Amino acid sequence: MKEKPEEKTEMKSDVQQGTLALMILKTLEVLGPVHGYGIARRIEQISGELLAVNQGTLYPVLLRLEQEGAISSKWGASENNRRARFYQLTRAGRKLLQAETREWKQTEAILSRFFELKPEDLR
Amino acid sequence: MKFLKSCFNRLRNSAIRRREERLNEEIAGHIELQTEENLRAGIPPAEARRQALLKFGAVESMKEEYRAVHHFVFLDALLQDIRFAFRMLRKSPGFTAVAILTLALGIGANTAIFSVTDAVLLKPLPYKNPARLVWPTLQFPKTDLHGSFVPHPIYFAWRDQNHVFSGIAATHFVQEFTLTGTGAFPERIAGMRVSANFFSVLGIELARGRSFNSQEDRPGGPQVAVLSYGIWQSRYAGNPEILGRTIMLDDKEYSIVGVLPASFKFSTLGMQPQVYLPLAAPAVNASSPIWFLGVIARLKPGVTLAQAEADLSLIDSHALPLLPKFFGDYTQKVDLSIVSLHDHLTGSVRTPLSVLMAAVGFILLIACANIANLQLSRGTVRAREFGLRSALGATRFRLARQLLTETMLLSVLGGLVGVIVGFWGLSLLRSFMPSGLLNVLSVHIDAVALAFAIAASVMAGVISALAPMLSLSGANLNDAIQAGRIQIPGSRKNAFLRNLLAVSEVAAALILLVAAGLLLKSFVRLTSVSPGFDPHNVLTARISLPYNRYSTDAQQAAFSVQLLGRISVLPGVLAASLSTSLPNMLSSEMRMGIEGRPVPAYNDPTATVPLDSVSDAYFRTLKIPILSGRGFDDGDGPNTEKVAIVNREFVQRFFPRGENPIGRHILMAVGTSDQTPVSIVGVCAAIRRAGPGEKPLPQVFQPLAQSPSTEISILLRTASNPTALLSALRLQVLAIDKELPLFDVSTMDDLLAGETRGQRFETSAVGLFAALALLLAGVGIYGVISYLVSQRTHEIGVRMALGAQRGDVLRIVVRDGLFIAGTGIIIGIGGALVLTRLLRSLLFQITPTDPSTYSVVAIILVTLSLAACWIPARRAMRVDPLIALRYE
Repeated sequence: MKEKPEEKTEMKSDVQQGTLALMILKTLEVLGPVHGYGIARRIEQISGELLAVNQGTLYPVLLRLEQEGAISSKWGASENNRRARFYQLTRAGRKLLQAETREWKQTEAILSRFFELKPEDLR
Repeated sequence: MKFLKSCFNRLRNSAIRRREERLNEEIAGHIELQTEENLRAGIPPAEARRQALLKFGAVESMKEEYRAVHHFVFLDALLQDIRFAFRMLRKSPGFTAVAILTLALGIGANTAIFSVTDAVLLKPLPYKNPARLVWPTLQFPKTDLHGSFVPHPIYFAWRDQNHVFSGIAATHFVQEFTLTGTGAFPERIAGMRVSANFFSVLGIELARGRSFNSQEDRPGGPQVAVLSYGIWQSRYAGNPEILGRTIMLDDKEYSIVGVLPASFKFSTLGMQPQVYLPLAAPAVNASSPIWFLGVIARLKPGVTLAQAEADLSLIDSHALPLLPKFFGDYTQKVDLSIVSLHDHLTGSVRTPLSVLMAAVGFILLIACANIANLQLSRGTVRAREFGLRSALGATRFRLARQLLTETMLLSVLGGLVGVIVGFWGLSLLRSFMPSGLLNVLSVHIDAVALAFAIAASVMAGVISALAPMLSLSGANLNDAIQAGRIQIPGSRKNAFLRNLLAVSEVAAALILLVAAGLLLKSFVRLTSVSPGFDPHNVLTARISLPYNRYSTDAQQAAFSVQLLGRISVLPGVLAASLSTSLPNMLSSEMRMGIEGRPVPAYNDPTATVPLDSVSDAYFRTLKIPILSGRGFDDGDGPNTEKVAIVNREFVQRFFPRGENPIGRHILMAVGTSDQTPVSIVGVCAAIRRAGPGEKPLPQVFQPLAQSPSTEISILLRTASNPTALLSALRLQVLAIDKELPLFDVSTMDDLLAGETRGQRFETSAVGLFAALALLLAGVGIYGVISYLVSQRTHEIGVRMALGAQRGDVLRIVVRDGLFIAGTGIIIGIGGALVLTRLLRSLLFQITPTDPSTYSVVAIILVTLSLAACWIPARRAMRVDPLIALRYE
């Protein structure tokens, strides 16, 4: 029981670099201002537990995005009336998200075309 | 420094603390929320919190990552290094002070010399697009016409026929004028005749008015002048209505048409013209005199120097044969050269500056070697510390960075002090420097020089860190930590590095010392050349009589007699005399022959001899011996037989077969309608008029009473300090003519010292640097030897226990010191033989390989190394075998 979570982590796919940032941006676009825990839960729900992220890894990414100006943060009150840091998409972040999304879709389209290739297509 | 550091730390700490606090709070909140959710899912409290923590992951590694994002890791380590370096430096204040001072001297000397080099050799001239300005000139090597110049008919030909210049301007030499009639006292000012387009070729806009037009730039044209900003301010108080007013120069009126901007600077032969007149060169015909001009031209875009040279050569081939017969047969062999105006103006200081630049470069290298050496010694002492650090997980890279940080900190501190040294050094340099160039180029420590100082500091830091870092890479740090205090492994490579550094210090110091020795010896020889007269306690001054009031010989002679009568009786004057030129200046020349011999060919240079008119007491005043015959006396008047005194060189040239010259006749202006016979009555010793480095020239003297002049030099031999008589002299001149300015007032000693000013500057600067190098090399040897002694205390103890005497110990230590010195001296001599060739053009009567200089320098260095060994050797001899061995 004790070692189970770690095993689980190994079996599930590693989060590709940059993907986590994109997920955070998309989450913030949908939900509006939300705290770190909220973002973590949302990503877990959407990915359907297929993707296991140590929730802590979120925070360095949040800091980087904030330094890049894609998101901003301020203190607010959480559901249990504690102080929590709320993150919000900035105008630059919105643009970044759009650009990233477009790129991601392009990559996806190209890759899916490759996967659909059959031997006879190359003749 | 401490205050700054603490401020910075506080700032950084608070920033980090705030961020860490924020993160901690976020983490706590996050886990809280997850725990509550787990509780709601029915998990027991303890398990709920554990699962929440598990889900969050490793907090510390996340925090590391978080900090890395914040870029504080690198900065943190750097700050830690700097803090640690500060602590290390503070722990050994002696080392720190020596190191910082060493580097400060090195960097300061470099900054000062660099700022001069930058201004003189690297910065553009203060004219528009100065890179296109060139100085074309001709040399007539087969004639006795020395130097480079352009005869004005050639300038006309170039101006009218060239295809390569967008403008070509000409300057005449700088003349002196007496400025009168503006209410204030009369004054001598420098003026220069320039072609009408001179200012436009340089790209200078006048501050007021206009430049000359072509009407004014022709013989007989309107008399006009352009004023420099300086004379406009000093003489006319910056009067805005200056244009159209007149200026009186040598009792001639010139109408002022323009004023130059304050920023305009032009200097030739060390003189800065204060007023400009139109060139108005004479038309070219057979009877006109030839003017020797300086030419400044602006290359058309895209034209190279080679193309310009080809174009001018072509013009020369037609124009040179048209020169008057004066240039005779020599027109075939004429050297044309075109250099950039910048090269022309700075050519004479290029070699001395490169020598100084090289000298200070050596100083900095020696300083770096010293720091490296000191670091190495300490590095070995600190081997345990480094061993411990590496055992605790520091990588080699981290240790190397620590060393680099320490030397960097040292060199930056050294650089800061060095800039102060540089400011001080530059003001010292400026007071020594030949003044000519400083008129045009402004020399000061500016942003470029500061950038250079910073670059030099950083480089010094890296260079001094190299050796210690190298030794680190080879050392076995594990051994270091295991070793006891006594057996610190002074690895073989370390010893080699240290010796190498000390050897190169000695070698560099030797090169500098040889250079300084050669310059010093040459300077001593130069200044010990007797000028041929006694220059001590002689006051000199000059007067120029305005021609319109003193046009006849009688008027000029009367003035001389009156002046002599007044100044001879001044209290404190032992002898007073007048002459047409000062004995350190070249006199005017006259073509002459000997009666009864064929008239010399027109272009025979040996027939042209310097000629001066002097008053009776001239030889007595300057203590020039009369070798045979008699001096001048009251009997030599305007109506008696014309007489002359010649010098020994004259006799050697004109009477080479030992004939007696007394009683023979010289024909002045031989072959012309003015030919006059003059009887030789005496022979005097020669004086060196062309400077101490030159041979004395033949010379003829005539009595002032028989050949008066408007150009008068006053010579007063005084009983004591000659300058005390200055105001009395001035009063006597003004009492005769209140419009006459007295100029070039000086003592004869100062005039002669001025001739060797450049050499004095080079010698003292290089000498100073060599002394510095000697000191630094001494410190270097001392450091190495005393380190070696401390390392060998144990060995020496054993040897003494086995019966070695103090003398043996001394021999061991001195042998090490002499090995370093000897190797350094041999390498240094090799380097000096190559490098001192640079000096050849600066040396007088001495070759760059002068053996006695080399021997003396070698002896100095050996003595220095023995002295540097002395203190450590004494320590070694006092080693008590019992104590030394007890550490075992």
